[in-house]
Order: sequence, then C-alpha cells, then structure tokens
Amino acid sequence: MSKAINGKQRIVYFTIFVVLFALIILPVVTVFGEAVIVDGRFDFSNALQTIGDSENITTITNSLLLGFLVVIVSTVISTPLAFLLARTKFARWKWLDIVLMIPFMTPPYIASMGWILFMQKRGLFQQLFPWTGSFSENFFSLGGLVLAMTFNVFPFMTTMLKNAILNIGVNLEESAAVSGAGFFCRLRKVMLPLLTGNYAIAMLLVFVKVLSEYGTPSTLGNRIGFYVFTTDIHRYASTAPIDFGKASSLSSVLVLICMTMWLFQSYITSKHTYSLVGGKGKKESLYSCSRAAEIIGGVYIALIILVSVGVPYFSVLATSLIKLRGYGLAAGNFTFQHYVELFTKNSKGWEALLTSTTLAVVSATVASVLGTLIVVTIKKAGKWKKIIEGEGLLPEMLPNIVLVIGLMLFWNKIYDILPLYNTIGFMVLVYVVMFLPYTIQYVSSAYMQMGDSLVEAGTICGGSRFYVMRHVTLPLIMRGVMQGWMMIFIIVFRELVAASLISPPNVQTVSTFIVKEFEQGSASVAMAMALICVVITATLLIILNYAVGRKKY
Amino acid sequence: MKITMKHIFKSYDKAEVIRDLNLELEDQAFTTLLGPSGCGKTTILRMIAGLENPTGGEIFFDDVCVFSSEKKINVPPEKRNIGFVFQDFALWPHLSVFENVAFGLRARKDTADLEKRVMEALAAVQLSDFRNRYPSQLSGGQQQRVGFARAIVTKPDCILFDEPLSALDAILRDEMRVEIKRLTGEMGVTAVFVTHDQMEAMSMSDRIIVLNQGLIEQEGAPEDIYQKPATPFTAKFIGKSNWLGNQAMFRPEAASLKKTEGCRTYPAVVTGVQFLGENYQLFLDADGKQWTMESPEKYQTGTNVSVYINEDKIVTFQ
Repeated sequence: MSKAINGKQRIVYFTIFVVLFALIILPVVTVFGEAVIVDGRFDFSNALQTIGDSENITTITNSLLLGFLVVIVSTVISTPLAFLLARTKFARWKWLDIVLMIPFMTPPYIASMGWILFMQKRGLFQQLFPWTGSFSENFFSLGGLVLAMTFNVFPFMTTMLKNAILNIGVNLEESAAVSGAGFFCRLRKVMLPLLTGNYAIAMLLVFVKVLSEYGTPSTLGNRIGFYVFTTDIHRYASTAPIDFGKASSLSSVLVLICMTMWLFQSYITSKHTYSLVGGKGKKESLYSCSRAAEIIGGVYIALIILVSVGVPYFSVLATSLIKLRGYGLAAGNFTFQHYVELFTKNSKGWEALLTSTTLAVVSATVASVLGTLIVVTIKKAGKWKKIIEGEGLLPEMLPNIVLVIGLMLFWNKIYDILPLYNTIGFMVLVYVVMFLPYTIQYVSSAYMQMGDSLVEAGTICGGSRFYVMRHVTLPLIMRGVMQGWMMIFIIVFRELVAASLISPPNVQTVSTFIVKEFEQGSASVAMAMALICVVITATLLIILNYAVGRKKY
Repeated sequence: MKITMKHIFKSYDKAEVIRDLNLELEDQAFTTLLGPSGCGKTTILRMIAGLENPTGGEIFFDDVCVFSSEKKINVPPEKRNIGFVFQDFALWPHLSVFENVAFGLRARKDTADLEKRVMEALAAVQLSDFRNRYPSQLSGGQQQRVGFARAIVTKPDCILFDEPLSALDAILRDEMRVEIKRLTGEMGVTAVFVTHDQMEAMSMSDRIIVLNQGLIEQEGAPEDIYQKPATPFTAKFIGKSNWLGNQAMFRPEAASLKKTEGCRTYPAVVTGVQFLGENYQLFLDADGKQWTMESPEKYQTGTNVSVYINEDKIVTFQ
C-alpha cells in the first residue's frame, strides 16, 4: 500500500501542481497584486483609499448587513421546516425534498426577475389583488431583497439541518424521554446542543453564499440602489470608467471575509460536531403529533413552497405568455408569440441557446476529464494529494466574481504569450477552473466508495494496470463523473457572472440574453427564454436521476 | 507449487511488522496462517500475492524467484498466476456473475472455450443458475462462492485465502469450510489460508503456522499444535488452557472430577456452571487459578471438588 513515491511519480505530481497553480492560484494572487502593487512597487495606500472611500464603506456594510439578515431569516424559516421533514410524517413524502430543491436550483437572477414582475407597479400581484393598492411595491426595499435571497438559499440550510437531525438517532431522544424529559426539555437539552455545530456551519455557509451572490443583487439590488460587493466589483470591472484596481481591492476584502468564514467553519466542524455512532438507532423515528399540529405543519410547508416556488415560477410563466403587458392577466391576452420570436427575430435567442449549450458541453467535458485524471492520478500521492486537492478545490471557496476578475487580469497580462482573452476559449477556461471542484468532489467520493480490493482483485486475476483501469476503475467511477458533468453543464448553461464579464463582443449566452431583454423592456421574451432554460436543465436533471437510479449497483 | 519465503522483512514507515521470516509452504497442502490481529499474517499473504512488497528478502514459487530485494526482482501480481479470495469478496459490482468469473480469462486474452470454463467454475461452486445475476443480487455466501470461482477459473498453482469466512454468519461459515476444503483438495492446488479463528484453522488445515508479532511461534499438524503447544502463547491462543503455575498447563478434557488412578489431584471450588446441552461447563477456582472443564453432572456453585488430571497430558514449558 504505502509504496514509496518514486521519481517518475514525483514529476507527474509536480506537473499537476504547477498546472493547477497557474490556472487557479496565480489569478487569485494577481487580484491581490493588482490591489496593492502600483507601478511595480508595493503600495497599500491605494487599496486602503479604495476601501476607506465612504461609498465603498457603504458597500461593505451593505453586504454584511444583507448577509446577516438573510442568515437570520433563513434560520427562522429552516428550523421548523427541518424538524417537520425529519421527525414528522412529512418525512415520508419524499417528493417534498425535490420540490424544496427547486428554488435552490433556479438561477437567482431568474427568480428575482420573477419577483420583480410579480411585485412591481401594475405587476401580477396588483392585478390579482387589486384591493391591496400599492402595498406590493414595498417589496422594493432591503426587506424585499432579503426575502428574495432567502427564498433562494434556504433549502441549502434546511437540507443541512434536516440531515443533522436525521443523524441524531431516535434512541438519544428516547433515552431522554425515559429519563423523564418532556418534548421541550428534550429539544433544549438534547437536540439543540447536538445541533449547535451544524447550525453554526449552515449559517456561515449561507453567509458566504449571500456575500458571493451576484444574480439577485444585480437584478433586484441595483434596482433599489442597494449595492454590495459583487455588484460594485462588477461595475468597476465592466462599466466605464473601468478601474481594475478598485475592483481588485474590493475583491480582496471579499476574499478575506469569505476565507475567514471558511476557516471558522472548518474549525467548528472539527471542534463542535459530534460523531454520532448510528448502529441500530437510526431507524425511522417520527414524533407522534396531534392532528392540529400536523395541519399547522402542513400549512407551513405549503406556504413556503407557494412563496418560494409558486410565486417566481407563476410570474415567469405568466409573463412569458402575456400578449400585451398593459392588459395583464386577462382572457384572450395569452400567446406563444414570444417563444416564436425567440427563434425567429434576428435569431439572437437561438444563437444564445447554441452558444450556451456549446459552452456547457465543452466546459463540462474538459472539467470532467481533467478532474477525473487528477483524482485517479493522485490517489496514492500522500502529502501531494492534500496539496493538489487543496488547489483544485480552492475555486469553490472563492466567490465566482473574484475568480473571474483574477482570471481576466492574469490572462490579460499574458495576452502577448497566449492570446486567449476575449475569446470563447477563454470562457471555457474560466468555467473549467470554476467548476473543477465539482468533478473532483463527485469523482473522489465515487473513488472512496470503491474499496482497494476491487483493483487488487483485478491485478491478481491477471489484468494489467490499464486493463484494470478500463474495466474496473473507470466503470465504477463513471457515475460520479457523469453526475459532475451534468451539474457543471446545468450551471454553466445559465451562468451569469462570468458570461456578463467575459463574453467576447457580440456573443450572447442564455443568461446575458435574458438580462438584456429584461432590461430593455422585453420582459416577456426574457421570461420565455428563462422558462426554456429551466425546462432544459430540469429535464437533464431528471434524466440524470433516472440513469443513475437504473444501474444495478 | 511450493512457496518459499527467505529472510523476509517488512516495515511500514518506521514500524517493523515482519522481521527475518523464513517460511515454506508445501506443494498441494492446505496451510493456515493463524494468529491474532496485527500479527502480520495478512501481510505475509499479500506479499506472496505481490500486492505488497517486502522491505527485504526473497520469495520463490518452486524454483522461480518472484521477489528479491537484492536482485531487484519483482514479478507483478498479474504475472504470478495465483488465485486470491478476499475477505470482503471484492466482486466487481458492475459485472454479472459470469463476467466476474470470466475477468481473469479475458484479462489474459485466454478466451478459448471461455464459456465452458467459466461455467465449469460456476458449477464447481453450485452457482450455474446465477450466471446473469449481479453481485448485489446474491447473498453473502453466494458472493463468496463467486469469489472462489473467480480464483479457480484460471487454474492457478496456488490459491490464497484472506479470512474469507469472517464476513459470513456461523451456519454459512461451517458450510463453506467443508466446501473450500473439498474443492482445493480435488483441484490439488497449494492453498494458503489466513484466519484468526482457531476452530477454522484446526478443522481445515493440513498444517498450521501460528504467528505472533511477525514471528513464527510454532508450525505443525493441527493435532500436534493443540496437544503439544510449544509455547505458552500457542497454548493460550489455541483451545482452552488451564494453568498450573506459569510454565505448565492442561486442556479441559485432561481433567476429571471422578477419582482416577495415576492422576494428580487438586482441590477446587466451583464458581460457576453453564449448561451446554450435552455437558455442563464448570468454572473452578483452584487455589486462586481459574480453570474450566466439562462435566456430565451439574454442580452447585460453591461446591468443593477434587480435580484429577492425567499426568501425561500436562504440558510444561521451559
């Protein structure tokens, strides 16, 4: 097992290390460099000036405030939901898990557009409930932004908490009950202490997610004049006067905050989570609830789904079918015209779909091949494995916008050597770097599940290294590779940050097309495209689930 | 095929697991490596298979050197022509039973009469009807039999068993013991079996090698090892042992509570009784030493008894 690493292997490991270093680490370093190096010398004054600028101070406090509020509201929404889904009869309704993932899988900018169309003046809400007057317009405030972001991100927290609760064997609660503890006493003395670590981790991760999120702030936040890190970085990097120094300074601050949160998160994970040895204690364990409690729980779940899934999707669907917005939701005012328009008028929509599909297929394929090769190669690499994995997984911890800025700066600087910048190829590169962690994680976990003995059995049966690789290892990790591929495809297909910053001139992707049409007042065309985009990705997810579930092993 | 290991050393990082081991495994015999966990028995097996490389020493299959640290010889596992039955079965979940067994033939491009040979191997383990199933659709015992069919289909010179029965339940284990012993006997292969279960070792082996901390404590026929343990470790590890001081012991069946001529007599108190079906197991306290023995009659706890021990059956160590 622990064969010494020989010279040849060392060269391979070192090569992987260098390639990943150039692809991932250098761009990040470039961001910091751009912020603090002026005319070839270290100069922190510019960076400090940028950060100290009152406008940017507002941005930073805005971001932190937004993150804080979304964490609070998410926690409040998720806690009862997690308990309902883990410990009551709703746990048996498996389809709830899927429905609750919908908001999380919906691109945030699409959901926000749905909300805007729903709540705005003469929007769908006012048409449905004319007696409420202009009440719905209150949505265009910090509160509305917090709600829109919460409804996007809460399933993440609910799932984490639910799994944590499921991990606590019912025997722990039963033993407390036998010892004389009532329901609330058990909750307070057993469940909550055991869940503290999970809460902290989920809250930190949600906070990082909110800080890194661009879609909602750029659609809804910009509209109400609430600027955060991502929107300001985007503005400095894309709107004249372009100032990469300022974008980099803000990016650096954002990275530092996120990294601190990640470190904090991993510290809590190691110190404050309990390893709960399951054994036979993990049988299904439901509280016996009174009829009234069940009804309240059911209504709560229905309400959450109605708001987080129902509203945005109703809004997107309705808008995409409305003939003339002025007439609103009225019989005879529905048409498929906008869908037809997508594919006929100037063929811009068709081109965007084609571009996004190509980008997604190529990026997913390259990332999958690269990631799989890396995982397979470094399996027995000892300390090299940790280093290379750390490099490969880094992009997941960085806000996407920072990664994009870093790659832009870095590839701009080496444009004379490698003129990739401003091409579709550069977009592929950015997506591969951004989503390499997906492949690495899916393939690693498939690889971990596969015991060493399966490969050993192959060699003993007379298979050469390549024969065993082709007939044993690859087929067994293929599921992980496919899952990674599909996730990358789905996310790249409708990705917004990178697309809006680095699309070559005159190239539109699905996301930039939607945003542009929406901003130019063709909301119906935008929403038609949004719906097509969601349908395509959802169909793929269903196919993926079916294909994975069908396998006999 | 005779397997010879000469001056084998093995260490992981700094920890030395095996130190100057010399071992001969006879042709066509069923040899068991027996010892507590961590004694190095699985490491020895994996070194024979080539899954692990010794830090130093030589391994021969008959007269052919397959490993030598000095001569820099190291035949890889796929070239050693051996069969290996894994503790966790190690069946490939994505291949059918037939394809699992056929793997070795296909990998060697030895596909003449493939169908017939695979089906013969499956018939030998009584799984002909299961050829199209997948491993997940088989019981543990059936999976282990597929593992065995896979090991014999290439007609290896030697089959290595790495605790193959430890993942099975008690009844299946007994069945498989008989089956493995029968099949290896019929095939006339050299079988090397690793286990920590002394009953398994004694019931199956032609020869047992008792290992402790990487060293050979004793080797011999099962009867010899049981009746004439060479060291206190062997005496304690195999069978039940009652001790008369530190250097002398006897097996429970050497003792009787009936007065017998030519026996040593010791007074003892009954401290516990268990009903075993055909007999009672008695727990005795003999002047502070804890003994057990079987008796056809029941005794009450606290009874004073005299224990008669056949002098010839007392084993002493120097």
